[in-house]
Amino acid sequence: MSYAQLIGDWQALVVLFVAGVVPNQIWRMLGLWFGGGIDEGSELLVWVRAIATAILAGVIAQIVVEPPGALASVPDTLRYGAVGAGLVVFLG
Amino acid sequence: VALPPLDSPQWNSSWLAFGWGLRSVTQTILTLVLFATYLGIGALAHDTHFSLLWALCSTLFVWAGPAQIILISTLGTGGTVVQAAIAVTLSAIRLFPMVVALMRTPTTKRRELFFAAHLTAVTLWVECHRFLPLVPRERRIAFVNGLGFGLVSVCLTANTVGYFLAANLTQTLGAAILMLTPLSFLFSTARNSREAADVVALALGVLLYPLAAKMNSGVDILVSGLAAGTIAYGVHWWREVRA
Repeated sequence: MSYAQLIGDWQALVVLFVAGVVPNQIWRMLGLWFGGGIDEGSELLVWVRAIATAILAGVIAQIVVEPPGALASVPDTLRYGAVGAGLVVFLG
Repeated sequence: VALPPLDSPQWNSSWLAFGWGLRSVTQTILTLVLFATYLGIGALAHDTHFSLLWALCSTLFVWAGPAQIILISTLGTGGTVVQAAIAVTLSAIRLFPMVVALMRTPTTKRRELFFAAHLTAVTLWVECHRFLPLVPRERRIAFVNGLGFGLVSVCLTANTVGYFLAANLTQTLGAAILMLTPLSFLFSTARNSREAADVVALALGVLLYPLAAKMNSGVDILVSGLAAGTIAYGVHWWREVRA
């Protein structure tokens, strides 16, 4: 395994912090800051939670529809079939 | 190993409570689910050309599976930093009420909760509901820290194993590992769906993304997420009003 694979470049780590760590961590820190003064069951949070679920669902679809790396070598029908069969077994 | 009774001397120090939290990692099936999910995240990071260090940093500092997979998938497919940041922040608002509820414990100081707040994520949250009634009140923070520390360690290990597997396995097996994360998120979200709005958000989110991707707007994931989420909220609102 090469240095690039193990460590990579620092720009990618900066992107990780700007696009991943800060946008995520800010909510934990805000929760810590505001403490008990917030209505956690508010309608706004219901809406946001629905959007969060839908974004995650979209990314799941993205990985299956536009597969990265090794997954791209698997035929479409097999990928969709795997998801469908999994759901049937899981929910059945 | 079952947790000792509430009045046992086994709870006499914070370190002992930390130890019991750490040991509780072995007492839950969710540890296995997390291991599989983070095995997949490691493999996904490899196949989208992120470094192992990057994957480990994302687990350590983001510590939220959905945010990590959103980040890897959006950035890995050429999405902009801004799109990834917005998608991650929308997904992370869920953490806010969890930390708020954590603060409900009276008499605890903010700085004592800092570490626990960072460790707060969906799996830890579910486990807390199960374990904390069995833990003396004054030892709960130490217990949560131990449990969280254990889960992070499991996930860092899984990331590393997944990364090396993706680098060395044949294509077919590598592909199977890549399916672990999307499937585990799909199933766990489906199982945690309590009301109709959750189901609509999940199903529409999956179905609308391929449509949004056809627009090639550069913010496809946000377009489908906002649309599906808002429709799901509409369903929730309609049911509430009629009820």
